[in-house]
Amino acid sequence: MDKTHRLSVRVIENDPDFRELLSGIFERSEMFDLVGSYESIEAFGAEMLKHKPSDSWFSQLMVVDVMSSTDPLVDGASFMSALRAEGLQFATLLISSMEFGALLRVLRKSQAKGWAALQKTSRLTEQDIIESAKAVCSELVLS
Amino acid sequence: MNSFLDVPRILRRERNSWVRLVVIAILITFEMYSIYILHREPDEQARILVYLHITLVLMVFSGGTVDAINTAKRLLKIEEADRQITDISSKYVSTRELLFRIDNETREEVGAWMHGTLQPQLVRLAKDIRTNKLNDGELVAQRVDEIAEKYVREYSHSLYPPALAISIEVALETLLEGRAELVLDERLTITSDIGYAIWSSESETASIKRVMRLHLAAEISYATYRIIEEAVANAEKKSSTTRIVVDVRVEGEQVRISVRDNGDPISDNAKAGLGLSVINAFMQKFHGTMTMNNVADGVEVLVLLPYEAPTLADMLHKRFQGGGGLDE
Repeated sequence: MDKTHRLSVRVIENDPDFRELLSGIFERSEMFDLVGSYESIEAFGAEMLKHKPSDSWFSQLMVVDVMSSTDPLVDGASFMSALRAEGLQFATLLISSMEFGALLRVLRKSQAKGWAALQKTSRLTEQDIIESAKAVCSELVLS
Repeated sequence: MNSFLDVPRILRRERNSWVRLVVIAILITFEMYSIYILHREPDEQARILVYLHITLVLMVFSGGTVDAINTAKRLLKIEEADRQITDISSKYVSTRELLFRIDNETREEVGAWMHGTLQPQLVRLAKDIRTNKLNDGELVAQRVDEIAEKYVREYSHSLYPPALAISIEVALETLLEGRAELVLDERLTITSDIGYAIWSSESETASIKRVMRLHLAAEISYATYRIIEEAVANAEKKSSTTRIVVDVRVEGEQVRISVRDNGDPISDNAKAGLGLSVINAFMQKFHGTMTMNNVADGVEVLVLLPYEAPTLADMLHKRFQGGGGLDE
């Protein structure tokens, strides 16, 4: 697939092994274009501020570990929700070892669409990740 | 060399030394000698000498009186400080004892769980692998997953609910799902505004005006969660209960937690169960209040916890101040 038609994706994951795994999956995928990979919300925030307010810098999909902030006051889900409340349009695939039912319900109160979540288990496959990413992007008609 | 006029100064300076004693002894001797002279030879010269001595003595004693007053003041202050130190020290000791006890109990509980639950699971798994009962990699993985999810995750969640690390809203939604209705102060929900333009100043002015997010300190957040957990479990124990409503809001300098059920009313001689004693422990810790009353359509547990009201924005602004932060 032509790279210009791919969906841009940024990954925020504090576990280096899992970050490498996620980055590899999106790099290999023909549908996505990995444009950034960060070890924390803060690292992503710093990079984001360097490019503001250019909407074109922002990726269409954010893949975020919920607990990837170095600050206990900040979590990945609330941060993404706050960005979207600022008017940015992007889909979010949340990843964590916790269960997500209540979190997704809460997030959808604020922005109804564009949220998906995957639980980190040993059963999680590359296909699961790509399928979830595709599904959440299609919710926002980004594909 | 010192003159007699230096005596008050010497006495002040040498407050706690043998010099003071010697000077006082000399003065007393001198004074007695003067009285003796006056008595024996009451002439003009002797009277002048005596007046001079009396003046010196008065100077010395007036200096001594000021010293005495200052010393008394210092002693009172020291006594007060001592009292405060004793008070703080006893509080410190009781807090330390409490922390020590909690630490011990937690170690005991975690140790018992590891020894009694986790270890046998792992030993059984290892044995099954060695005896070829589990010779399929997938089956081994399933067993490991089962241990991780059923035992480790469940237990770690019981120690501290991970959803609380996100927000009280997510934690309570998780806790109360299918059990109770949740009415939460809008300023504690994700729909409220965290209070700074993350992306651009233009977007801040363009965004819809929302209420500012309040920050609940971690320990108050945890207390709120545990209180609701216990109060809801308490309401569920009554077979007549079909509806539970949890209402959490911040009112002034208090977090108001109401748990209402439509079950049977409480009787006058009802005894506090374990759940209520857990709530009471939090009340003592935070100097809160708890009441449990029969209301029109059931029973209400009402808890008030003290609350200091920084918004989340205040907290984040402090964090990011000067650090190339996000609040531009």
